[in-house]
Amino acid sequence: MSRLQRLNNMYDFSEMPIQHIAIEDSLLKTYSREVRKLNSEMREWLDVSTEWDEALANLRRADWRFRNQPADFGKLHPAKIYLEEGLAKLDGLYSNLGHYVRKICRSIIENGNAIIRSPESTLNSNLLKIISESKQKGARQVLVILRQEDLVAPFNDFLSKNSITNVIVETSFGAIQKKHATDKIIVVGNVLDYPLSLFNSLFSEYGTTLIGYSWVPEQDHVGSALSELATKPIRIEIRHSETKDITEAIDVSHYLEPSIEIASRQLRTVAKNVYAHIDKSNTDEENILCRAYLLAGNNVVFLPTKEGAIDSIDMQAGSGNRVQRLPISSIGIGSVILLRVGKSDSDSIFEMANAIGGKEAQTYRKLQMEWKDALRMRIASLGSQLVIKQLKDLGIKNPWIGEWKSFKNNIRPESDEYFQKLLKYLAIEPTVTISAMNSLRRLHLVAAMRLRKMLKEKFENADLQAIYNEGFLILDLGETPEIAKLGAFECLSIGDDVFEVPESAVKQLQKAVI
Amino acid sequence: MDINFGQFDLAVDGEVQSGVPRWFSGLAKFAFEVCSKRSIDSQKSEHFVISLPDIDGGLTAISLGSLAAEISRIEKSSNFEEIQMDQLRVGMRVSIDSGIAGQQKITGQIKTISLDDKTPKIEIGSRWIAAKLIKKICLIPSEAGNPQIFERKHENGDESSSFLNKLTISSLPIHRALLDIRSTSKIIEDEFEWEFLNSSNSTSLRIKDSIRPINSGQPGSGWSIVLNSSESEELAWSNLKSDLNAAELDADISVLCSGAAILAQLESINSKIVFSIFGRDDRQLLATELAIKQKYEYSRELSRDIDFSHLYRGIELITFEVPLNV
Repeated sequence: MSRLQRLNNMYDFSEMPIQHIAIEDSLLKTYSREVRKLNSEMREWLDVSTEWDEALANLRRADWRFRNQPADFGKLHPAKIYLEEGLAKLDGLYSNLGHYVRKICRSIIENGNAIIRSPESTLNSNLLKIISESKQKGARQVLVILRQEDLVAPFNDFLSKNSITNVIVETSFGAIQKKHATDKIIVVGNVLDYPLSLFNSLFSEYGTTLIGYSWVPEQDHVGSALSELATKPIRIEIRHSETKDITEAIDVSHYLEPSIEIASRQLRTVAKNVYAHIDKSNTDEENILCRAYLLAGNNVVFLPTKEGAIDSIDMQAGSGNRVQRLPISSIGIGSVILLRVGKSDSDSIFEMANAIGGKEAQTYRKLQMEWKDALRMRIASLGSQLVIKQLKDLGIKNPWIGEWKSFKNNIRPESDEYFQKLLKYLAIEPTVTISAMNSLRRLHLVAAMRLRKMLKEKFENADLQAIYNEGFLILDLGETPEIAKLGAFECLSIGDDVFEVPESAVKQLQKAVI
Repeated sequence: MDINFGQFDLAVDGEVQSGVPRWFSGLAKFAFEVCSKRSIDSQKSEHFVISLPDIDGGLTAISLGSLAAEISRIEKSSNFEEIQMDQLRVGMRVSIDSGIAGQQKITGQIKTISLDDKTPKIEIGSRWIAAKLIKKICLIPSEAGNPQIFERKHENGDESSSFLNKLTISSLPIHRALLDIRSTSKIIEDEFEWEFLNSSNSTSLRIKDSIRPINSGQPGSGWSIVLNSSESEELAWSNLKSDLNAAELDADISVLCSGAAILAQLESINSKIVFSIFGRDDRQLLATELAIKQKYEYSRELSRDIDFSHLYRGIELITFEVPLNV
């Protein structure tokens, strides 16, 4: 299909309703609902009991995979493996609990075992039926979209085992970026488990069909993340099949992919432990309000809540466009961020600037040290409040003395006028120092640019498969000994708690302590 | 001027489609309406966030419409007001008919006025002109360049021809930046190759011919659209901008195309009209949406009514305004 034809089709089909097929499956329905009930009953225990946490995590993962992973339904189906592990753990846990919980657990074990023995998956049969019907209606190329990468290969195997051709299997990211020429789209699972752009940027002649289960509530329409603000919003209707189960109002969140929720619970404990181990002995150091980010490879990083940017990797971009600087506020679960492994960013820039500047840099550093020391001494003798007041009296509107006194992270105040006033206040002749600090600032800029260039080059050309497999990739920056290693880490969870973290520990990789 | 693609067919990557798709013409018409009905003295920055199923084509459609509106506005407002000798002030840009029969036209900025001398005279550019030879003085609007060329183009302009033809008339002298386009060079270079073919007379107009990047010719003899796509254009702009003042350098209309451009510019942009265009398939979609939401948080509802009926299905529009310099 030509580029223009594809664009025209896209706009023409953009308001076609999404068909929602809700599968009935009484055995899975009972199991799924009982797991939800058990999770709700045991919520308080999950934070304190690793056994309960693991048992329920396995049972929930199994439940989700039964509804989202079409694949050969033999005993090696991942949902069955999770289920077996979950049932084995649950077996020894519930005997001392109350009657209601015991009843739920017995039901889960009974139904779970029946599912393990079952040779047929209702997801498989319904999905194959929709593919077949679509082809009969005229669809030549069917695109099936699954929630995550590890579901794709097993379903491709299943299709080839059943001799089904002309079906492309993708994750939502792959489908959005690759723009396959397709005339039918089938999405497995719940709308809320996918990015909205899957539904508002991919369209096809025979429309989109969403295949879910009758007891899992589904949206009635999709728009975009900005639709609520829009003067002209988009609104794509979701037409439910007649079997939609509407007997009770259910919170859909329980039925979505559970990894994020499980990781978030883990993060709460880990972040507090990591925070307790951070060195907070330097009372001069400024504290920054941060959130904890749980990263793959059992790592944690504290990033500022308010502002700042961080290098990240766009996993979908081609070589040359991968490394991008993003506002911290836009980092989400699944984002891949770049962090120094070992020395800090500012340490690296500091040392590289010294190396570039040579002897001149030493002179600048001496002058930098002189005015910073003078400020520190003034603060030590008069106290911060009085120094701030005196600087304000001199006409400096916002005396950020906390930042200014820092040696490695700050060179000089931005404003020439304020810097001149500050130096006069500290009894330092301004001309030489201002000129030296300007030169030093240029050296820092050059160092930061070089560092970023090295960083970019390494990751632009690296094989990123390890990030897909392990969630992280650490690379050596090569022949520059003063620069530490660099790692790309997938973000697994972002904590809600805010910590006051010493500046030197912000953006630094911390090993998770459980 | 009317946004009518008339006889033209659209050709992309060598494939020709009969007519111009409605989603494309609708975007161009929408941009034209928004820009042509704007208040020139507005102290507000009006934002039009346009979310498309796919970014492809969005930049050119919006730019064509905006550019047509800006050129139409300047054409209508550039009336070259006639002034008298005693109204002359140093710094004014004027066009003077001089000579015994007014046969010589001199254009430039007034440097010196020496009317009390024994031989009264004024200095324009690097030339001195005797006051007694001056027959007519016209004040040149700051936005228009060389008035002789401008008037000639204006007189020769055929009202019935398509707006695309008008946009491609070479060297229409607009003495200011008209559009500030920010996008990735890939999108600009790619979309600017799109072509309009007129089957009735076998003519072909490339978008590149209509939306001209910075013209490296003499100041005042070409329009200036700030692009950040290549070094040569930056260089051309550097040459040109030495002759323009700050107000002329700042385009009233900005087109930010792609999530990357929006993320980099939205916070600092201060144009009177800002189009932010992104595809819902953009890789940095979440960050882009967040940036827009943050800007929206301290905005007000648009204070004028906008007709968005031209926008085709599948297109989402968010509008708001903020005071300039916020």
